[in-house]
Amino acid sequence: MGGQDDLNSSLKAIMAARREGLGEPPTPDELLAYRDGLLAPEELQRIAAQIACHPDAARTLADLLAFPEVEAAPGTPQLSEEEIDARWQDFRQRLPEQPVTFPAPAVRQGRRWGAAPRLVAAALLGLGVGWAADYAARAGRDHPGPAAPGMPATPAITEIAELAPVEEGLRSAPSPVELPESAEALVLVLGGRARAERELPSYEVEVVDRHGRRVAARHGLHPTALGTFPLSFRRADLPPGRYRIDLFGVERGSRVRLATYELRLAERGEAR
Amino acid sequence: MLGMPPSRTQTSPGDEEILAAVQALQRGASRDVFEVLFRRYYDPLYKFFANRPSLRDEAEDLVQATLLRAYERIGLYRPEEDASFASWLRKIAENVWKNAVRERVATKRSPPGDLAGLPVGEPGGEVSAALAADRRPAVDPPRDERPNPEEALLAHERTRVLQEALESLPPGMRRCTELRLFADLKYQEIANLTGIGLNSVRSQLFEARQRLKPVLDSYFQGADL
Repeated sequence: MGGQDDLNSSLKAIMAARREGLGEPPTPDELLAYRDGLLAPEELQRIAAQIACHPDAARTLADLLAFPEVEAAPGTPQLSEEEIDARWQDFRQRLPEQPVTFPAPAVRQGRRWGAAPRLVAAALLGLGVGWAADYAARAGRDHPGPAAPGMPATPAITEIAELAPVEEGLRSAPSPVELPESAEALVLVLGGRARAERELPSYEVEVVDRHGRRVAARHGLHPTALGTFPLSFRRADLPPGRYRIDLFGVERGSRVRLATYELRLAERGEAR
Repeated sequence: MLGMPPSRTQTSPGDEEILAAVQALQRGASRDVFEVLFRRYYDPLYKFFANRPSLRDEAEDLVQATLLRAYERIGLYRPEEDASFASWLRKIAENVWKNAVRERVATKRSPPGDLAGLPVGEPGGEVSAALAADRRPAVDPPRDERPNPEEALLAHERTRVLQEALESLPPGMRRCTELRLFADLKYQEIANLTGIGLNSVRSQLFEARQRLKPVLDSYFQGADL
């Protein structure tokens, strides 16, 4: 065994002993908190020591910090331009014609829809929201089933709010949505699904209040052409407060949470 | 591929091209405009995911999930408020990475003991999984070539002396040295990770070499750091 091999063996032994003393490697959240300077001093010391003796953690952090100037680690396969060309052609087919253009912040204040201007406005606002408005208006009339029990046949005003999934690092704080006094219904348009790459046979939604109580659920849902899920509620279904909305994909009897949304329904005057 | 590292203040022609594409998509341009972003970021994203040994097999799926999510949420990006588009995209990639790690942990949960006794219920499974292999005894020669007791004693002594030498380094120098030796990071990567300048990293590592040289010369003939 040469000197370099001996050195490498000794380094490995030191690393292994260090890990034993330091416990588990840092989690992804700890790594990101370390990078973002969010750790308390003692935690910072601990994570820094762990990073030094866990090469994969150090490599991950280095790549995150270097993005997009990431260099391929030894042994990482490389893609040629031709391969990337081919991937674009495949990927392009998976994209909707146009992206959903959420305005910021994630929750858009609802619009008021009278019966007559609804069709005109829906056409202007595009397929997703327009479909939602129409859905809300027709929910009680054409589909009085479990998806919208007791919806008014022709709501005088329907409030519409688009929600984006809660996601760390992206816009997620729920802006308050205020239902005007005359609004009888609320349509929530759930957008930006976390895993839209594959359509599932069916979807479900659960609405949970701040105490963890399930206050509403929808089953057998299917996305619109834009991948959104419009849900209609009576005003009485959702009193002012904070809600968590979970979107699940259902396949072969099991369900997987795909995205979580937050909704804050404001008391009168609070959102102004 | 992208020229200089991203910066909040720097605006290279490439950044302008990216920004123009983003704004066009936000105004409702067709999906074909996204090709600019796809070609620009596919390779960096691919390297990011494929550099993780535990995620290498699914790297392409993760890249596409990241880009698809970026396309779907392009309307959330605000150039006047957010950092560069690359930073915004990186945040999406981080979330995809974290979810992939968590899913991996969940998948690994069923076969007990799959991660060599590590508590697999905890997040961080990617790192844990990668480390499971690393937790094999560091000095593990083939069974039929086990060192004799004298060699084992000498290896132990070498390791002890090296460890003492590393621990005698000042904290900052020791950290740079360990990131270089243990994690095999480049100078620039160490600078990024520690927040000290590239020249400081160079000088710290140069000084560390000088301090460790007597140990190397005595116990690891011909070895270099």
